[in-house]
Amino acid sequence: MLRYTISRLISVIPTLLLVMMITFLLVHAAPGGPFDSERTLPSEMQARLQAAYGLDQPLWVQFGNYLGGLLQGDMGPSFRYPQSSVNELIGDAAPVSLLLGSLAFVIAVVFGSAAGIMAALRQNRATDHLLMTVAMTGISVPAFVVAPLLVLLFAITLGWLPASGLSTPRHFILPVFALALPTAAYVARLIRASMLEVLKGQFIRTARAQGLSSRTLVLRYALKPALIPVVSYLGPAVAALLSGSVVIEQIFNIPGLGRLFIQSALNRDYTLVMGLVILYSTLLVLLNLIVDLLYAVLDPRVRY
Amino acid sequence: MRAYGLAILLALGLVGCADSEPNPEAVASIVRGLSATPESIDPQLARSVASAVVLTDLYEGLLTRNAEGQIIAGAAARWALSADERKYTFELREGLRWSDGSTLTAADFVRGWTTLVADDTAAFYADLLNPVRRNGDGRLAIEAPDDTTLVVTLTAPTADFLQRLAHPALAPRAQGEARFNGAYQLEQYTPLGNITLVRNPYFHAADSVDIARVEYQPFEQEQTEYAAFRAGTVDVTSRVPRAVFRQEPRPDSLRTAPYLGVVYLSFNMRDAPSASTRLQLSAAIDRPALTDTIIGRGERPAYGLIPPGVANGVLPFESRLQSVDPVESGSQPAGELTLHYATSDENRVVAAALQEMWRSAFPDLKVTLANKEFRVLLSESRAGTFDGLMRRSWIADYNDASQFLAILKSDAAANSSGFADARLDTLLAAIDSTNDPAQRERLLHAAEQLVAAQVPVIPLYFFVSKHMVARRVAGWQDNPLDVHPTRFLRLLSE
Repeated sequence: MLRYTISRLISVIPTLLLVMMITFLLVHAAPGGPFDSERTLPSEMQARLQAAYGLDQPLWVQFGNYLGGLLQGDMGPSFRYPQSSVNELIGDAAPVSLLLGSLAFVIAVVFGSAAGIMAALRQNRATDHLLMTVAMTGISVPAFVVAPLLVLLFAITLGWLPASGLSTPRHFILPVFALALPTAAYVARLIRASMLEVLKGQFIRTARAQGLSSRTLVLRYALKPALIPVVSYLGPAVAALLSGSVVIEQIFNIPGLGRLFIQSALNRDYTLVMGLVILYSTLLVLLNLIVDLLYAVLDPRVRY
Repeated sequence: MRAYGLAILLALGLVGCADSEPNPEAVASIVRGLSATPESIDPQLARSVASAVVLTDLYEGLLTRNAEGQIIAGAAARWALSADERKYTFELREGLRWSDGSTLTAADFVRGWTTLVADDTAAFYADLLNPVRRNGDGRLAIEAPDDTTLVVTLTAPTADFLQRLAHPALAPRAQGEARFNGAYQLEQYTPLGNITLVRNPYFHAADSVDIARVEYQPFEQEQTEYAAFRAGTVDVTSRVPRAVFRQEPRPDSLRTAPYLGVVYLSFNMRDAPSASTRLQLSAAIDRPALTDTIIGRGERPAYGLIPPGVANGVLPFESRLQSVDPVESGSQPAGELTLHYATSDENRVVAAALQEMWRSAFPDLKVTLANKEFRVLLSESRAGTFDGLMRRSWIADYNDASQFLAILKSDAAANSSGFADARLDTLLAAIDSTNDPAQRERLLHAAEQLVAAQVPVIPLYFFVSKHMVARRVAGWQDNPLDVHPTRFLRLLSE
């Protein structure tokens, strides 16, 4: 397993390189530049700015310089924030998104699996139908509908919770809930289906015949294999959660990575876009690796 | 089951958590929204309006603006203009200090202005100092003969020079670490988050500053900002969603005022339809319907580029253009026309209205709408490659009428139409170099007529500034530059 892990980690590098090259080309191909504004600058000023940031050089030179800086851990200066580097900006935004995403992940997994398992154990009864209807709503109603409704109800009408920002623990409640809801709903449905599948299995029937009748014991044996499809789903889902949900961050005005993604693209902040793409790709690749390793833990038939 | 009980208890605990924010009664503080995240709070490096709002509280230039937006003495107590109208001598107030107590001298202004025009700064607003003469070695002709005197030499008499001095880009610059000479100093700043300012005890008018603490929160989405206002966490918003204007009755907290900006359609003069067509297109637009019904926030119709009430030196300028005369004879516009605009709700509505007005007036003309992302539009405008009309806007950097005609100067960067008329250039040069208000007014009218006759651009309407201001905030004065320094605001005790 260790060799497998190491070979997977090594193969990350060519993947990332390819992603960086494609992103670099795409972002420079977009019309418009970082210094365009309604208050148009004189052309010598534009030229000076381009030279100051190295934009007057051929693309392959710029990419080479960027890679050189990257090897030293420097993701370059931001084109839009004249006094900040990309390292600083991502360093400011990442903890916020990570915290929010982690909380949402925990809530989604805990409540989602609890709901799904309960539904599976009470299949086709009232609890099952109720839980699955709620889950269906959670998947179907988009975040940009749920979040403003929550704000309207809890912040404006009732005044119980704040409408935006993240300064106190209370500020986390609405965004975390809005962020966790679709994932929890999906997890619930997934785990219910997979649990039902596992409960039909031979080894469960054997265990029950041998006297393991209590629900808890069944859960202990059935849960691990039931989690495999959930884990597959959660890998990329966690990457998305941790790198910030654009919609949630815009609606709750949270200075996280999601908002930064959008703004950097619209601002043509080339280095910031590159930095964010690298972060997200690395996260995705690493989480996929973790998911694959978890299969070995959950299913004894899997060997690397 | 136990897990559920625990979870519910945890949730209740979080909800009941006491806020760790300071008691608002203890310190007079307000929260103001910004329309975007400021890209910098360095006065010479800043580029956007959002940054300028924060910088207005942190720094004070030689001159500054009062609550009504008029130019008043700032760091300079007195100033005099030489007989040849080319040299200004500014005398700084006695005892000026930075926020850490160190003395503020005229050399700090020299440092700030020199930084602004330096090549490696690559500052957006370096052109504010274009009227200042350059010495043989390329440096600015500004001197500080002693700690409290600043002498500025201009290349020619410049009527709007004093107006420029209130711009945050012309603030003084301390040596070494950043310090502040405005009514407030920085308490907390992160590039992406909130910015907290507290009263600067060394400000020369610190006793008159009522609000002790102001927190600026950037809101990229106007709906989020408005929701925060309604929830009571934001006291002043930077803009207002359109839907609020349709509320009956109009909320008291909604403040709108004429704003020095104009929205216009720019032709591409390198490949434009005939002058008669351009005139007819302009005449066919029902501007009052556009402003009163379709947009409906108090904007005013624009028949020329210069907004009413803007200063032309000393006097406010009154445009003589009241309407666009219909063209009596000549063929009707026909063929195809594209109207480009930047992606936004408001732009789409206006573009659709214009398309309809032209369709009913000119049945042979086919008008297509093309919306593009803002920067794509700007790059096409810069390259001069767009066909048809492009919706543009222009907002004045300071209160002077010549700002608005400057976009049609043949060598102006902001000239998206490619319009080049030597007569206009001559007029504009004459306007810039005379200090006589009556003469300026005459020249401005002449320039306006020239532009109106040739129609390189079709003015549509003048902007209004719009804010929600909470009832507990007093001292908010409407003014055409939409500048509202926090030092003039007060909190009403409940």
